This record gives sequence, structure tokens and C-alpha cells, in this order.
Amino acid sequence: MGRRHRRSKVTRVVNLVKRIIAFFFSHVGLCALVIGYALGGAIIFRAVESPHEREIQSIVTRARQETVNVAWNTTFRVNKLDRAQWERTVHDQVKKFRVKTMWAIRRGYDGKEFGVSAQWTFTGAFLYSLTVITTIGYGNTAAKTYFGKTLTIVFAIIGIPLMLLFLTNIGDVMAKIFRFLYARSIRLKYKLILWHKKRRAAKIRRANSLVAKLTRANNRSYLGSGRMGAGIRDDCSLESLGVPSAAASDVHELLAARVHLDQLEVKESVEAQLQRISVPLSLVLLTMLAYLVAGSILFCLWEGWTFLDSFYFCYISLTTIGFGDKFPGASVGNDKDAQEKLVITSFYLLFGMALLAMCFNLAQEEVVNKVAWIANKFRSKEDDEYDD
Amino acid sequence: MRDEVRSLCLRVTIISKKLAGFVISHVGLCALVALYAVLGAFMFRAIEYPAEMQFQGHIINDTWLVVQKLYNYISEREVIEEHEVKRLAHELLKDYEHKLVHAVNFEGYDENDDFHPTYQWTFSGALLYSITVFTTIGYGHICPKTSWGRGLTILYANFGIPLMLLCLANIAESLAQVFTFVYFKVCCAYCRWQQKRKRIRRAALSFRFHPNAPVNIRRAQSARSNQRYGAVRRHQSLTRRNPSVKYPALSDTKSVRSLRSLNRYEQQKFDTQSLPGRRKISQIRTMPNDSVLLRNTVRRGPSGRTARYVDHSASPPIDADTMKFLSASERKNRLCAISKCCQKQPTRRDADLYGRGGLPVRYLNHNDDDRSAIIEMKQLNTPGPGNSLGPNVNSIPRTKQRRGKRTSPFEESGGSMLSEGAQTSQGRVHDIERDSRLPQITVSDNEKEEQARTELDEWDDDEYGDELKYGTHGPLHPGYTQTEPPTPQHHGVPVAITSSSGSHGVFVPKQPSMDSSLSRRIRDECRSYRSDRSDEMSIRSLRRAGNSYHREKMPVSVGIITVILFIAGGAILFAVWEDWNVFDGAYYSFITLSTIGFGDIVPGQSLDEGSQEKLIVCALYLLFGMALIAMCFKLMQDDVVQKARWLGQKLGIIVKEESSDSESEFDDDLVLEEDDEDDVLSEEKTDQDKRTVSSSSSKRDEEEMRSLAKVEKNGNVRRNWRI
Repeated sequence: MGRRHRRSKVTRVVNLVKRIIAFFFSHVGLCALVIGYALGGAIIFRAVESPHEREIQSIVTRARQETVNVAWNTTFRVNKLDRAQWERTVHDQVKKFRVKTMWAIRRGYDGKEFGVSAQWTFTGAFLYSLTVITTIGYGNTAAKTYFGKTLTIVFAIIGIPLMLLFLTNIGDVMAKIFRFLYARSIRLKYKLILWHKKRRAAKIRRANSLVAKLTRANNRSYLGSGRMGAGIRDDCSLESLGVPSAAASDVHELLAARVHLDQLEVKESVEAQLQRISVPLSLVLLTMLAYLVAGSILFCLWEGWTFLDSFYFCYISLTTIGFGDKFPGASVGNDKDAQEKLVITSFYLLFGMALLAMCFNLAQEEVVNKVAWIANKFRSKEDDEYDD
Repeated sequence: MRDEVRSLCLRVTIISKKLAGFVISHVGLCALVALYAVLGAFMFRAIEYPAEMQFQGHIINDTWLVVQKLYNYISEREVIEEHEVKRLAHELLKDYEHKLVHAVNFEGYDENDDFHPTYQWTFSGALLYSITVFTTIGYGHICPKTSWGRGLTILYANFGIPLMLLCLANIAESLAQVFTFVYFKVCCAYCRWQQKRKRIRRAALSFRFHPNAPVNIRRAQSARSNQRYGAVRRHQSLTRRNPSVKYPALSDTKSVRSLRSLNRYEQQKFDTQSLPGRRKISQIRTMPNDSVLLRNTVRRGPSGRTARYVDHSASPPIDADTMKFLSASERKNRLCAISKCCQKQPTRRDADLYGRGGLPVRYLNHNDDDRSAIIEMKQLNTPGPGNSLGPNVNSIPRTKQRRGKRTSPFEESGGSMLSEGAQTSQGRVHDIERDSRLPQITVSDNEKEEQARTELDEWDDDEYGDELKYGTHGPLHPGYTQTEPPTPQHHGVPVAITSSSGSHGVFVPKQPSMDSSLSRRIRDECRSYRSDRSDEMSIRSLRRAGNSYHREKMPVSVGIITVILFIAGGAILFAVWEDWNVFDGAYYSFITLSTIGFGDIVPGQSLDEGSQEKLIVCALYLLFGMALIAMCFKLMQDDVVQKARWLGQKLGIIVKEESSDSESEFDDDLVLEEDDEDDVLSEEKTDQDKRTVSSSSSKRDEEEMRSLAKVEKNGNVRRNWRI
């Protein structure tokens, strides 16, 4: 009894674990997994790198302080009218300062003031881990300690496949949604057409019925007037008036049938369209372009870059080239704004990658088809050669 | 005249077609990418270099600017307050810092630049830049500063990235081929060597135990074991040799394509053979007494390969009658087939034959074919030959197998000799089975097949060399063979011969003296034989891999190790060059090859002397690394996908999508068209498809086969042979 109970417990646990793993590979779970991974990476990297960064920053700050002091002292001591000497002294000091700064820059210093802002804030680290696993690699923020570098390598080895998994997954979902929306829009279009046709049909029907009523009324009045008339008349009326009424009803039926047919036709065409619906390549490209343009406008407004520059940034980022020469938030002195921008940038990137994956997913079939076609052409050519 | 024009036109069109094909081919694609990179380098250099000339070296000015600004401020003020001055100094210095950061990170500023500014946008720098663009590495240490440069970069990336992906996929394929070839040839040399050694040892043992065995001790042994066939043989490496028999089901996995290619191969051999048999024959003649003896002597023959011939002949001893028959037919042509069929012929061969020289090597192969062909003939022509044919049949298939197995044939043939009656039926069955199986054969890796074949050849040489030693002993014990001259074989052999020799003149110089059906059969036989062989090959590899479904597949670990080695090599290279420590080098290599490309460490930055070459080497390292990684993905892909699927199924009792997800992931990894395969078989198929040496060759083979069929219908034998 007890054993069985235990076993059932074990199986339940196993099932639970399985379900959890399965969940992590579902759409939502994968999303959460990637973001969680990046967050975890952010925490770790921040913990590893920020002390080092602070150290470097403090060194630079100290050097600057020293330079300022020297400048002041020279001003104080040296006759300020002796311009040449003053300048020489200060220039030497600035040169020294430059050497120190460059040493610091080689170790990751990027001009952020000690105590005011830092590269390795949480958001900065998050963006860093994101750039690692998406292989963008801006490089404006990079691990500088050995431990950080090792961690980066490990992080990338695990993270890049995870990211790819996530991208394909999310791209799939998004492609489905996109396709669905596209289909919906098409259906809407056809519905509109259908509605139009219906309306027209209804109008015709109404007119028809009007005609029919009229004829009937006519008939009746005729009959009423000729009630006293002979039976022959009746026959006549039947013949003369019955024909038009019959014709009217016929017309009515015919019209109805036609309307029905029209509807059917439209429906069929809609069905067919929906079944072999494939988003055209141009639309896919347009979506991507729209995203790029939207992003570039965003950064254009924020950063005061020119449009080309911000477009360049977006493009370089989304193709995962990631030069890092342009980077949002770098120009802002205010730390809070910079952090905000980093967050928005990272989400822009993440969503952009997903969108890119979606576009690949959508375009893939068409592209593959085209490539196969081309390949076929070439193959046939080669065959010809062989025959020759 | 008109003809000339036409031919000229034809040639031109052909050339143009070839050009188009070439562009799409591996080399063409590589060249295209290289050209694209160089073009990009020129373009970006033209755009960016003038701009860089203007701003490069601005740090000196900036330094002076800071000082002057400060001085001006001080001189302007009536009253100098300390904190005011300090604040200003701070601000100025901060600004200066930012400039410095940008200059160092993105303009390649260096301490030495004050004296002689170095420019980033040299040709090599621009080349590296364009490569980092279309590989999506994007270091960013060299980046365009002008808006023109930026716009063009976007355009450049637009076309460059797909091109690069295409090229990578293409290169990865061929690299994978080369790599697998090298791996199986070089890396597995050791295991092969060991196997061989084992075999030799065993052979020696057997010899000791059966000193009387005239042909080959091994054979005798095998003969004995043959009777107990299935059970006894199984163990040891012997099993390897006779895989088709034991695991008939496996034969299904043979690849038609490989067969075909083999076929072609064989045919070539066939054609090229000239008078190959004579030599052997002559030698055989030297030992006129016993066929067995002859055989042995043959082994001793001029080339190691002649040994093969002996092997063939080693099968059932032949009667004098058949021999004569054979000799006559043989003379007319090098149609070895006949000679082979009658393994005994050699004994019969006259002086004339003796006199002629030939290429024994080819001949050997021929022999195999012929023999097999003859056997088939028997089956087909004399549908009900009964037991008499049996032994022959039996022996022949075995011999065929022998090739594949490299060594085993002896045993089998010997076995047939001993247990002719009992086994005839068996052998037949085998044959039939094989034939019937042929159509079902799936495509296997061509490349590997060929590889294997080459290996085989080498092996064969070695082995035969080894056997030679043993073989020489054979003659001492002539009695053995004589004791069991299987009479039934005579019947079988003559049938075959009659068909061939009877139809054609005795001294016809051309080989194809057989009638169409015969040749056909030979063909078939060859095919089946080949299939057998391939079968064995695959099985062998199977064994090697230890997994029945992972034939000739690279283990994942090898791929990973290769990448790691490459990274380590890069680390050491850059560490030596750039005075980085090794870890930095490894970090750089990893970041580069994963296309992350931070660009915080880039070679060519620290030194200006020779940094240009370094940039170029860096670019090459980069490109090759990308190709290597793509290759490794290609090699590991199937394995990984399979494993992922397995994992997914394990978990996926609940979740179905997972496996497909992971699969798609890897597909995505490789970027280009990867089909989803459902079962292992199909997967393998496609995999092999991709790896096959070239579709063209296989296609040609197919055509060959088709034409063969046609020819056969027409009864045009000759063409058949020539194709």
C-alpha cells in the first residue's frame, strides 16, 4: 500500500517536473525563460562587473581631480600673464590625464561619471546580456574582468541556442497571428463585397416584389371590375394576367437564386483564398521596414539624431551587426532617462528580433520556392550540358 | 562552314552555361563573396578615407583646446574664484574625456597617433570592415562616420548578408565532406590498423591450426565454421565480414546511388583493364598440378593485387573441361568475366595467355564482377540448375562480399567448398535476397562510400600482401583442394561459359562477347555485389559508430572539439601576435566566431607596424572560422536534432511541440533550407543526399542505368559495356 502510494507520488513528481519542463518550452514559458535568463545574466554581470567599473571610474575621477588641482595651482602660483608657461604646465598635466584616461578606456571606461551613472546598472547589464544572446554585441558595454569574460562565454554558449529557440518559437506564433490577421482582413474585404451584393440583391428583390404586388393589385382590380364578367373573361384574365404574375414570381425566384449563387461564389472564393493564404513577400518586407522606420523615428526624436543615423542604428541592431558607435542613452547625462532609454531599447530589440523571425517564417516558404525554382532551372541546364 | 558556326555557337552557350553554373558552385560562390568584400572595401575606403583624413588626430587639438579655454577663462576674469575655475576645468576635462572615449573606441585613436596618425580606413581596414558587416559580427572599432558611408553600409549589408549565408551553407557542405573524409581516413587509421593487426594474427593462428589448407588457412577455417555458419561466425570480427548474411535486414540500407557510383567505378576499371589476366594465368600455369597451387602462385604474382584474383579463383576448384572452355573464351577477350566465372581457368590458361602482360590490379576487380555475373547467369539462364549450380552461386556471392569485407571472402569460399550441397541453397537464397533487396535500397552517403572504397583498396593491397605470405604456404598441401573438388560446380560453370563463348567468335578482341542477357545479368550481379559491399561498408561503419542508425556520421564531440581547437589556435595566434594573454585571445575568438563581436579587443590595434597584415589575417581567420562553425553545425545537426527529438519525446509525452521546436531551432541555425524529417531513415537519406559527392555524378549514373536498361532490351551488349 505504502509503496504504491509512494510510487504514485514519485510518478506525480516526475510528471510535475515534466510538465514544468514542457511549460518552459511552450510559447509563454519560453518567453519567460529567455527574459528570466537575461535578467539572471544581468544580475550576475552586474555583480561581477560593477566593482571593477567603479574602480576604474574612481581612478579617472581622481586623475581628473588631480589635473584640475594642478591647473589651479599653476594659476595660483605662476604669473598668469606668462601664458606660455601656464599653458605648457597645464598641457603636460592634461596629457598625463589623457594617458590615464586612455588606460581606463581600454578597461571599459566610457565617460560615465563616478557615482552618478554607470554602465553596469541593472538595465545596462540586462541590455548587455541581451546583446550577448542575440549576438548583436554592441561592445560599448563589455565585460572586462576575467571572471566576467568567462561568464560571458558560458552565458553565450547556453544563451544563443536558447535565444534561437525562443525566436523561432515566438516567430512561429507571431507568424500565425499575422497570417490570421491577414486572413481576417481579406475576409473582411470579401464580406464587404458580399454585403454590397446582398444589398443590391435585396434592392432588386424589393423592386421585384413591388412589381409583383403591382401586377397582383392590377390583377385584382381587374378581376374586381370584371367580377360580373363572363367566365370566358375569367379565363382570359387568367391567361392574360396569370402569365405576368407567373413571370413575376419566376423573376423573383430567379433573382433569389442568382443572389444565392453570387453569395456562394463569393464565399467559395473567400474560402479558397483563406485556405491557400500566404502573406505576400512585399507585405512582410513592408512590415519589417515599417518597424525599422518607426524605431528610427523614435530614436530620432529621443536622441536628436538625424533620421539616417537612427535608421542606421536600428538596422545595424536588428541585423545583429551591432557596431555600437551609435547608442541611445549615451548622450544623456541624466541617469534616469538613460536607464529608461536602455529599457526601451532592449524591448525594441527583443521585439524586433521576434518580428524578424516572424518575417523569416512568413517569407521562408516563398523564398524557398523561388530558390528551388532557380535551382531547378540550373539543374536542367546542367543536365543539358551532360547531354552535350 | 555552317556546322562550324553552329558548333561555335554551341560551344559559346555551353561555356556561358558553365559560367553560370560555376558562379553558383562552391568556388564561384566563394569567389563572389571575396569579390564582394573587396568591392566593399574599395567603396568604403573611397567614402570614408577622406573624412577620416580630416578628423584623425583631432585629439591633439582637443588637448590644446582644453588648455586654451581654461586659460582664456582665467584671463578674462577679473576675480578668479577657485571653485569656479575648478568647475570649469572639470567640465572641460569631462568633455575631453568623452571625446577621448569616442576616439579610442571608434576612431582607432592611439597614443602614438600624436606623432604620426594612423588611419583606420586603409584598404585592409576597410576589408575587415566590410567582412564584419556581412558576417554580422560588427566589431564597431571601425565604423563609418559619414552619412553616405552609413547609408551604403545598410545597402551593403542588405545584399551581403544573404550572400554570405548562402556561401556559408555551401562551403559548409563541402567542408563537411572534406572533414568527414579526413576524419575517417586519417583519424580512424589507427583503429583500422588495429583491426588489421588482429586479423593478421588470427590468420596466422588459423594457419598454424590448418597447415594443410592449400589456398588459405583462413578459408579452411571458415569453411568449417561455415557449416555452423550463423552461430559460430557471429563472434569476433569475423562477423564483420559477413554482415549481409547475418543481418540481411541491414542490406536494405544500401544506397542506390552509391551503388551506381560504384558501378561506374567498376566499369571504368573494366574498360581500362587490358589483358590483366594473363599474367596471373601464366603464373598459374607455373603450378600446373593443382588449381589450388595455381591460385597460391597467383597470389605471389607481380602485384599485390593479383592476390585478389587468386581469391576469386580460390573458390571451388575447376575441372579441366571447364577450364578449356574458359581458356578459349578468355583468349579472345580480356573479358575477365569468363575467366572469373571459371576461377579455374587460370590453371587452364595456355602459354599465349601467359605471354601477355597486363594490369593485374584492374583485372582483379574484373574478376569479381565477372564471376558474379556468371553466377547470376546461372540463376537466370538456368532457372532450375539444381544443386549443381549451387556451390558456385554460393561461393560467388561470398567472394563479392569479400571485397567489401576486405578479408573474409576466403573463409566463405572455403566454406562453400566444404559444404557445397548444403549451402548451395543457402547461397542462392542469399543471392536472390540481395537482388530483390536492391530496389529497396536507400541512398547512402556517396562520399563516404567512395572513401570507404578507396580505403578498401588500400586495405586490400595490404591484406593481400599479408595473405601472400600465407598463400605461399598453400602449395605445400595440394591434397586439400583435391579432396573436395565439387563436381556440381562444373555444371554451373559450363553453363555460363557456353553462353558467353558460344555466341561469339573465339578470338574476338573485344570484351563484350556475351549476349545481352548475360551482360545484363552481370550488370545486375555487379550491382548487387556492390550493394553488398556497400552494405558491408555501412555495417562496418555501423559497428564503428556503435549505433546502428548513425552510419558514417561524425560524432558530435568531434565537431565540438574541432571548434574548440580552432578557438584555441586563434587564441594562441593572437596571443603571440598581439601580446594579449591567451585568455583574451580565446575570448576574442569566441566573441568573434559567435558573431557577437564586441570589438573591445581587436587585433591590429595595439601595434601599427604590420597591423595591416594582421587585419587581413584576422579577416581570413574570421571567414574560415565562420565556415568551420557552419560545417560543424552541419555535421552535428542530425545528431543533435535526433537527440533533441528524443528528449522531446521523452518529455513530450505531454508536450508535443517541444521536439519540433528544438528541431526548428537547429534548422534555423543553419539558416538555409532544412527539411523536417520525421523518421530516422528519411533523415539519414537527406543527410546523405546533401553529402553525396555530387548530384550530377549520381544523375549520370542514373542515366547510365536507364540507358543500360534500354540497351539491354535492344540486345546491344557492346554499348552496354562501354557506357
